[in-house]
Parts: sequence; C-alpha cells; structure tokens
Amino acid sequence: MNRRSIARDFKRNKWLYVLALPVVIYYVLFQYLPMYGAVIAFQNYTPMKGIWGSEWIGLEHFRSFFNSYYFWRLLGNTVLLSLYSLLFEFTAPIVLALLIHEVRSRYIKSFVQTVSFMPYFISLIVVSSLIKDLTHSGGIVNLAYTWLTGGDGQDMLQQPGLFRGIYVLSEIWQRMGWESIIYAAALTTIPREQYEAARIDGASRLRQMISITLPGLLPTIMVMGILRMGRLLEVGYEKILLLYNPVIYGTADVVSTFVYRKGLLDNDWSFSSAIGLFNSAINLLLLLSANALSRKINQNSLW
Amino acid sequence: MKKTFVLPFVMALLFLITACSGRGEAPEAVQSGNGSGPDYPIQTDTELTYWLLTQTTLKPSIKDIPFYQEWQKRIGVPVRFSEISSAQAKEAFSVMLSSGELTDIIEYNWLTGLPGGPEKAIKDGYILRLNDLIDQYAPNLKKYLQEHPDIDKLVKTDNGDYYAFPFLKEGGMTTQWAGPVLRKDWLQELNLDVPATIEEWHKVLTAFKEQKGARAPLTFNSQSSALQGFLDGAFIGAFGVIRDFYVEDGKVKYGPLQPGYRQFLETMNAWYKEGLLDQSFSQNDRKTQDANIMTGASGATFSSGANIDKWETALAAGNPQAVFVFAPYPVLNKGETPKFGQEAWLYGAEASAAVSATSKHPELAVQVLDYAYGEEGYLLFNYGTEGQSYIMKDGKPEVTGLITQNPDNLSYLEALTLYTHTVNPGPYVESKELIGKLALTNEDHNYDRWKTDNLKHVLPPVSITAEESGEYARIMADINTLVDETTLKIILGTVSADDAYRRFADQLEQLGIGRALEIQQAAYERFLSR
Repeated sequence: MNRRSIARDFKRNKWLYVLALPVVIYYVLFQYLPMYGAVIAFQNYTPMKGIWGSEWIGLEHFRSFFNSYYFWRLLGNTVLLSLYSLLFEFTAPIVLALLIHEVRSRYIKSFVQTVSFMPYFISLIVVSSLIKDLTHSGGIVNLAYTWLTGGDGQDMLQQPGLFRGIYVLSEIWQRMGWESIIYAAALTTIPREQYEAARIDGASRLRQMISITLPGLLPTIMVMGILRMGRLLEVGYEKILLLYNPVIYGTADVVSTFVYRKGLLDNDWSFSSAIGLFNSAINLLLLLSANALSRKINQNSLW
Repeated sequence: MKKTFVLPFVMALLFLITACSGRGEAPEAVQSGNGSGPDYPIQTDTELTYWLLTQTTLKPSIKDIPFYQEWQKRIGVPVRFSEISSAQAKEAFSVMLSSGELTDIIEYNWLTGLPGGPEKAIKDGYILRLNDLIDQYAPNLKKYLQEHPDIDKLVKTDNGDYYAFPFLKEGGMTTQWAGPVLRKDWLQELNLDVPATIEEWHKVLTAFKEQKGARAPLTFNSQSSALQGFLDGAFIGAFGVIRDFYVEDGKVKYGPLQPGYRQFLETMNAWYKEGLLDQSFSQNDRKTQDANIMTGASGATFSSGANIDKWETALAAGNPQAVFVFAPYPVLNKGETPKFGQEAWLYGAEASAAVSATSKHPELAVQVLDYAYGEEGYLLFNYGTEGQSYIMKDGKPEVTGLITQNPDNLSYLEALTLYTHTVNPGPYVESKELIGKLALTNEDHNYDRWKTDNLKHVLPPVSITAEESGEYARIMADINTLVDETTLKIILGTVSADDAYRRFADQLEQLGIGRALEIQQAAYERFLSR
C-alpha cells in the first residue's frame, strides 16, 4: 500500500483511529515500552549504573538457571499445574454453559449464572485468606476432608499432595461462571431451526447437545484454547504466592514464583529477568504452535 | 499499515517521557563543616526524604507521633517520610533499589537485608561510604565510637568503611528481650515446676494438652519465616545447634549439617504428632499467636517481653489469675547452660540509617542523623521531651505519669512508642537503664532467666566482601529453600528423618555449602583481626 492510500484511509476512518488511540497508547506505554528492560537478563544489572552502564555477561544467567538445582522441579510444577488447569479449569465453563443452555426456566438460568459468576469479583487477597481459613486445621473444608479420608486434620496447605487440587478447585470456583459467559453468548448464535429440525427427526436432548450445540461452540472453544495455550507457563502466580509456604514448595513452587523470590526478595534482578524471559519465550512458542495446529485441523485460528 | 503510524507516535512519547524526568535541582544549603557540628535547630528549607519501617500502629502516620514532631522541631530540617510496614519491607526495599530513586536517608538492615551486604551496597552505588562525612559533620557519633572501641569494631566493615548511623544498644535488656514463656497459673494448678529441660517441657506441654485442654500447647508467631519460632535458638539450641552458621572453637559451622539438628527435628516431629506443637505453627501470624494465647488454646510460646505485657493486660479482664512466667531456654541435661538463645550484639545492624549515594544533601543528612548520638539527642530518643514524658530527678531522667499511667489508657510500652523512640529500633543509642526499669515488673518476668551462651557462638556482624557476595547470595538462597523445606517436612512428618537425611548432606554439598562455609570462615577471621 502506498503513502497516498494510507492518507486516504486515515481521512476516511479518522474517528476509528481516534477511537483506537487510547488502546494503542496503553499498549505502547505498558506493554511494549517496558520490554526494553528485558535486556538486563543478559547483564549483571545494578540500578545505579543503569541499563547502559551495567556489565554485559551474555547467556550466563540462563545457563545458571538451566543448571540450577531447582530447574526441573520448577518446570515440572509449572507444566503440571497448567495442564491441570487446562484440563479442568478450561473445560468447566464449557460444561457449565452447556448445562445452563439445557435449563428451560429462565429464572433458574439467570439465578445459576448470577451465583456462579459472583466469586469472580472477589479480590484475590480475600479469596486467598478464605482458602487459608477454610483449609486451616480447624477449617470447614479441612473438617470435611478429614471426615471423608480419615486424615489427621493437618493444615491442608501444609500437605504437598493437596496443593494442586486446592489451587485448581479454587480457580474453577472463582472463574467458572465468568468464563462461561462467552460460551453462553456463542450459544445464542446457534439457529433455533436446527434444534427444531433435529427434534422432528426424533433426536434426544443429549443427541442435540452432541450434534448441534457442541459443534456450534467449537470455534469459540478453539480460539479460547489457543489463547490459553499462550499462557500455559504463566499460571496464576499471585495466588500461589499468597497460598504457598516452604513445606509445599515441592508441588507449589513454579517458575513465576521463583522469579518473584529471586527478583524481589533476593534483589537478583538480572537472574530473575532471565528466568522470566525464558518463561515468556516458551509461552510464545506454545501460542504459535497451538495456533498453527488449530489452523491445520479446522482452518480456525487467531491469525 | 497501522505500524507506520505507531512508530512516530512511540518516538514522540519517548521524547515526552525523557523530557519530563529531568528534574529541577535545588541549590544546596551547605552547612559549616568545622568538626564541631551545627547548632540545632539547623536553619534550612531543604527537605530531606527518609525511608523507614513503621513500628507503630497507634497513629496513622509518623507525622502524627509526638516524638517525631519534637525531633523535627529540634533538628529544624523538614523531613518527608516514606513509611513501610514491616510485612512489605523486603519487596518495598527491592523496588526502591531497582528504581534507582532512593530517598536521602534509608533505614534498613544493610548488613543482612541486602545480599552482598554493605560493601556491595557502597560499591554498587546505593549508599555512601560515610567515613569522611562522619569526620566532618558527625561529631557526636564520632565521639561515641572513639569512646567505645568495641562497638566501633562492630559498626564498620572489614575495609574500615562506615556505612550507616547504627542502632546501638547499651547491653542488658536492650540486647536480650525474648525467650520462652509459659502460663504460670496453669503450672501452679497442675503442680508443675517451670521446665528447664526438653524432657520437662514435654511433660508440661502434655499436661497442658490433657488437663487444660490446650489445642496447641506450644505456639509460635511465624510471620517473617515459617521457622521463626526456632530461629532464636529456643528448643533447637538445646541440641547444640541453630538453623544457621555459628562458631565453635574458632570454626564456623552450619547447624543443619550437625547431628544435633536431626535430633531436634525428630523431637519436634514427635511433639507435633502428639499434638504438643501448634498444628499450624509454620503459618501463624501475630494475630493467630495472640488469639491462641488469649483463648487458652496455647499455654506456652516464644515471645518478647513486650507481648507478655500486652497479653496479661488483655487476659486480666476475664481471668485475673492468668499470668506468665519466663522460662529458661531449654537444655538436654539439667544444669547445663543453654548454648543458644535470643541475645543480640550491641550492634545488630537492624534499622540503621544509611545515606543514599544519590542524595543531593549528604552533609545535611549526616547532621540530621548525628543529633541522636549527642547528650540532648540521647535524652530525646530514650526519654522524650523534658517536662512532658520525663523529668530530671537528682540529675537522672525519670519518666512521668504520661508514660506510666497514660491518660489515654495506653500501656507503658505503647506510651513510650508515642513519646520516645525507645523500644523501637532506629539510629540512636538505646538506654539500658530505661529498658531495665521497664522489665523489672516482677520476678516472674526476670530477663536474666533467658541468659544463654549465645554470644560465644553466634556470628558477630561479619561482612562479606563485595566480590564474594553474588556467589554467596545465590548459594544461600538455594540452600535456605532446601533447609526450610526439609526441616518443615520432617517436623510435619511429610517425610521421615531417615529418608530426608540420607540425601540432605549430599544435596547441601551439591548446592555449595562448602563454599559458603569457606566464605563465612574467612569473613569471621577478618572480623577477628579488625
């Protein structure tokens, strides 16, 4: 496209450009500009010398992270926690949307929706202290768990085996309703006639769900899935930070929490950004491959 | 196509940002530097910025605390405070350093709070080497250090660098303020003596559990670390170790590598299983500890004398018999002197005020800080304002009713934190006499019961060289994670001590404990030859 047509395009759509301006400013200021800071991953950064004055040391920090004693554990925990989230937390809203879709009564429908997306608005800090209280040795969840499994009533956040479960369940509780909204919206686009035709052909409700509702939802699911893949290694570390403690590092310590500890608690900024950069690089790679895969399978992709 | 529009836009923004960040510089009001110090109040309009941890929750801000108002009036220099709650200290400190925007004065533990310690902090350009500034502008501190060569040795690095205006203690109860405590009324009711050995403690805690219905007979506050309750040597010291480096016969040793550490873990695991140790001991914050004590869920804890004052007052409302007694640090065999406990060096580096290297008014900052080390400053920081919080009696300061019977119903300690700086750490000299008086409420609260051989064994404030610091910091970060994790897992019974210990020594070796010990040993030897 040449210069003239750009100018013409701008003239014709000038209000659209103005509309986009705040978003562009946001991305430049808060997403792209800070990226230059990532170069400190290749330095022995000290703030007083600044980025241009600090000593360059190449890939040293990456090497030291890959050889680090905790590398495999961190990676393993991160991947496992993400996979669990993908498996349960990603599917839960879909299931919920499908179920709500089947409900006939409009009142029950909106009641369930309201109740299920309410937890999304509770602040993370509050949710975390709720979880802590409930799983505490005298907490009600702990009591129920002890009653069911016959454990010794130990604080549940002190048992490495339970952390992933607690994390994923609480995520589902908090996000399921909210995330199901997008699927619910997608469901409204499915033409009524299809159901009517199916019913005339004698399809059961389950059959209708499998043959009409699910395929109608599939493009949305795919796009959401791809977006999700891009965050595979970026588990909700804020929550982990608020919940974990050294006893359960074995299952709870993930790359991002490690980055936090190194960077903000040990002041090892360069090392910390090297790890963060590694994390982002893997995420980008996953996003690209998920997108490519999806395009291959059903011609449906982000770009 | 849109990209071509973004680029010039970015340039414009970048330009704007850089243009805005060049701040106007105020002209410096230079004070006379003849070595005799300024006359306070210093007459100046220059405002200093001061970063520190807030100790009190009694007032919304430091500005509202009478002590700080009086201090400001006396020094005559306007000071703007950045107050950080201690729970956020580490992050906030790190954020400030990484931003490069430092306040003029920063009150922190420069020895252990920053990996690499003071020498690295000076070398990296965070704070100033204060030697010349002290010579010229801080006659009070200079005089104090000349008169106390033993303290002078503690407050500088091996290179002889002064890096902060130190928080100094005069000894006695200013250096020893915490230890094990128990409910005295329960002991009497159950006909038990104050326990001295680990075995006796076991007996007492069992009785608390079975006969007093204590859900968590022994509780801890683990706010800053999951193992906080043990860090000062309570219970762990009985086995001749601590969870850290210590000295024995001139050799630096690492506690978790010693056989005593395993014994300690096995004992605590047994206590945990029997329900003698708070089931959530690694998770409690101060509020949980308070609640455990006040509701009678716990009958014993590790605490500073100040807390006990608070608990007794609160408990007295419903149960006037509820009182506490200080117990000695436990040992294995009766009659032994406990090897470790909470006893600080006269200088422990906490809350010491450094002057940032970016400060535009280092001379003024030094003059402001020096005030506390003179005679007038000493009285202000420890006793407050004459006629208000203390009066002179036979040439000796004595606190008034404002402190002892506060009209606003503040406790003795709370009143002190409002009208004086004492009780809280900071850049001044803490009066032994005042704190001593504080403690002598009755024989049950006798701080001498907490006497240990601690100072013979814990490391003095040694400093690691700037060259070694990066390596040391990274080794210890990994090791600390491993040690905390293993320790807690064994105590909680998640893994057996046998299994864990089979690998523990190897893991520590792999993480470089040998090198860390070498560095510590060298630092210790340099300290001895200061």
